[in-house]
Amino acid sequence: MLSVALSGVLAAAPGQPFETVIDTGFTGFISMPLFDAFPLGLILRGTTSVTLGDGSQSYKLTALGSATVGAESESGIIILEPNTNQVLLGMDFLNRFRKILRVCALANLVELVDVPPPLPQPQPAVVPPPPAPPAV
Amino acid sequence: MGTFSNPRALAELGEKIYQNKFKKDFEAKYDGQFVVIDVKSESAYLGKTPEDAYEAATKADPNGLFHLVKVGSAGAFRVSYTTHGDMDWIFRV
Repeated sequence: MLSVALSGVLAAAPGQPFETVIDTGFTGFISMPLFDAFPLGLILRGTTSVTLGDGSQSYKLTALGSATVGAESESGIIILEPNTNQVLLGMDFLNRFRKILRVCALANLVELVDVPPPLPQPQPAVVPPPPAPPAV
Repeated sequence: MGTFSNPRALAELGEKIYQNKFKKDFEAKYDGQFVVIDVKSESAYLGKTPEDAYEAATKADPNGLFHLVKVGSAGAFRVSYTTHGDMDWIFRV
């Protein structure tokens, strides 16, 4: 479980905290219960179609909202689910917050860590110019 | 165009407009991008992300009725942890 604060993009951050589940099979940003979305003041955007785990299609409402983790906030499209009580975080959420999900079955450990900064590019070695040939 | 009593009707019309007017051309040129269909004007707005496509659409018509599609995919998103949600009740009067 990861606690994430959600709010409408025009509301004061960080918003209301929710216990969330990371769904690695979800390609989007966030999916949340429709009823929980009403008090947050999310901006309704329209509809979309999603492909479910069994390959079937389902239509969902979408809204624009913000998520805050620690001091970081990101805005994105939130899928509104009429028949759930669970807030899901998708792979786009991990991408935007630059997080890595690490699972170690041996240690029963799941952790969310920051993407490390890119390694510095190796600089080309400075080669001194060859000595000038001796004057004849 | 009439009014919509539920989101399913909006989504189905958006899918129909995309299939009939844009799918063939967009799949050849913009595979993997997102497209928002404004069902009021039957216009399409492309973006590399869903947010980009929605921004282009709302800029063109802030009061548009929008349906999001991913070019080349059956659904705009894939979800594994969910159930079929019946949206018919939402705006029922």
